[in-house]
Amino acid sequence: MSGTHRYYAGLDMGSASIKAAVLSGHRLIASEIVASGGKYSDTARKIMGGVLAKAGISEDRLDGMIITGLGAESAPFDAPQVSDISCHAMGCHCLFPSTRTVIDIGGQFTKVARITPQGRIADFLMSEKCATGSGRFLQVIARILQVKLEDIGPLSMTSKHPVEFSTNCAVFAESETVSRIAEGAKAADILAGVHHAMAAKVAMLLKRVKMEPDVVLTGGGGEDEGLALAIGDALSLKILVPDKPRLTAAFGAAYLAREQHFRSHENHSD
Amino acid sequence: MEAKEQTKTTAVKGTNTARKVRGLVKQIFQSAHEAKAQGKKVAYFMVTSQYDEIVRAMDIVPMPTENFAGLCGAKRDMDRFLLKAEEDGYSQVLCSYTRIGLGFDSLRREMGRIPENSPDGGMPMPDMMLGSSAVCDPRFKWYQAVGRFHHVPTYSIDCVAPSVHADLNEVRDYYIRYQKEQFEGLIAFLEKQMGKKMDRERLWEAIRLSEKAWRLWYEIDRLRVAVPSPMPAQDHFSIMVAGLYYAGTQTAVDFYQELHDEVKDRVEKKMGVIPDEKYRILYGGGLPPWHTLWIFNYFESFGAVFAIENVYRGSDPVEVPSHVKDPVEYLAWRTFLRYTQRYEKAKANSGNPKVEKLLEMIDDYQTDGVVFHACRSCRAMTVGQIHMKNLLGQHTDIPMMQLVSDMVDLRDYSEAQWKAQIAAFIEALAGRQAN
Repeated sequence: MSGTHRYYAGLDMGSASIKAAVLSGHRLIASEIVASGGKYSDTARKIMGGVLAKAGISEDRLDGMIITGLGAESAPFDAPQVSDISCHAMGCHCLFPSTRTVIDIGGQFTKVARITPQGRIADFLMSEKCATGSGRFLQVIARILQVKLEDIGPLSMTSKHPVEFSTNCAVFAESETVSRIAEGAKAADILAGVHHAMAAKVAMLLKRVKMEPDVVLTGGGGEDEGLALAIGDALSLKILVPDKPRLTAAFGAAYLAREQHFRSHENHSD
Repeated sequence: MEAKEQTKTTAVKGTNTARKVRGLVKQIFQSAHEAKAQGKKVAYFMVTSQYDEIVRAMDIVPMPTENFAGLCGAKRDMDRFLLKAEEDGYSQVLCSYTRIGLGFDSLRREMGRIPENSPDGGMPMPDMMLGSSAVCDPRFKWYQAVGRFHHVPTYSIDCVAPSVHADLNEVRDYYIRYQKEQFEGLIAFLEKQMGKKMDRERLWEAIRLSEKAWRLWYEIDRLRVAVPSPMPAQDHFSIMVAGLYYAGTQTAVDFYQELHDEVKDRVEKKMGVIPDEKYRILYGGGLPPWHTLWIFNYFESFGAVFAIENVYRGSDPVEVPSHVKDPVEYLAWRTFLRYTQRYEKAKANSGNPKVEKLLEMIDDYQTDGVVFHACRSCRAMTVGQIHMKNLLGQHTDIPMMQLVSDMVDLRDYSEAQWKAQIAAFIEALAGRQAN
């Protein structure tokens, strides 16, 4: 690595996983995703060690770092914090400059934001304090069906007759799933039904923030192509998804760290 | 036994006068208990029912049951009452103020005494219960439900407002006549309970005191247009006690005079709530989160101050025509004028009087953003918030946010979610200022 390069890091301490990204200039050069586990602080230190090693730099070479996510307050680093909504917005803006609306489906909440052409928040909403609005809903159903998380999307897309859930509550949906299994419903149809229920909720949030295209799906929910398809169907438009949707906020955080560095060092460049 | 660590719920206030409100609240309960001991009549009572001065003029000691519920929320001593009401079969979607009241009275009946360590000594047994339809339906039905425990006379009055689209010239007389009949019905009921006729001069005196306090409160809020903000929302949520729970008394007038002097002094000296005021926020509506009032200090840690609120002081002072010589007719006129205050303006603009008020506030108080609080169990102040937000969005582009919880039921609150929302909202305010 050249000693003249500038490096920036983003650390996203989510409820389900901790994500880290390192930029050299505006280019992503290293990233890591690790399950959060019980010890946020230890995991954060470990993941930063790993991602810096991948980037081939030491911590003191970083010109900026931003921490985000629900667990940001537990981070063992002295760095500014920015909301994950802003980080997702910036991440999506960098990956897809045409982004005007962002959907982040995370482990705890679903967030939607209408963003400006500069990647800033214009309006945003979070799902209510309810598991149906989060990735947790899918995890619960997948556990009952004994389906791996990564298989949810492909399997659901084979569905011919999606199950219609009579409830919008994750707890009741769990018991309803058991009933449907007993009735002989296929796992694919149950998962597609869950996707439809979640998509309806997301569509409602999007309408409330006065969604504009292009719409990007990010967060862990973005890894579920069946969910992306269901949301697209509910809105009658194509949903864009980053290659590594779970990394978007960490990437956006690193990018915001870069911006922040330039604001305080006007004569610097990458 | 080790003392239980108390969870901090309250906010650091901005004015010295607001810090005296705790004493006023304690006094409400103390006065009611003392009155019972002296054989005076105590009434369960709903504030802002427009009948407040009548109750004062009849020498009845008011026991505002909603205030007790808010107090339980602020003390984080609500679960035992909420759960008791739910155990009795009341749904969790029923107004949590009502559930606390029903739970308290149910527990009292079961235990044969006021539940131990009830906040501020709890509520004494009422001699009568006075409901009203002003604001919402639980305020009308609550005391009818409590009638299962307390076999005391109950009376609920109707408070009515015409449709925004009504021709006020056409409906005015009818509405005022109906409202007056409602008050007269209440007076007849109270006269029977108290065994004496109402002294109309005493009613006039209570009205005069009430109007004086209301005007002072209005003028205090007008002083708050100053930059930096001299008094924050957490103070407003305390000082409303004087205007609403002490309506028609000299106590309210004296309190607001003192607060007025302090706020005026702070404005003259440019004393802000926080040293570096970056953002001014309008509390767009919804009952406050009594369980977590420190959240207003949390906003302040980002340089954001709530400059004004759209709750509790529901209307500006109104001018009742001078030909009205009867105090009951005056109250009927005042009710009509308060309820229809921004109707004509709404007809000419957004179509919604509440939106008109918010637009005035955004303009007058130079606010950078609006925050609403949706309370899951308060339909009256929550239903329509999104509609108002959408309507507002047609007239202003300042950032707006709706926080969701409940006024007292902590089960509807998520600190992590609120902090995440607040962080993003502050960033939206900063982004807008930077552009």
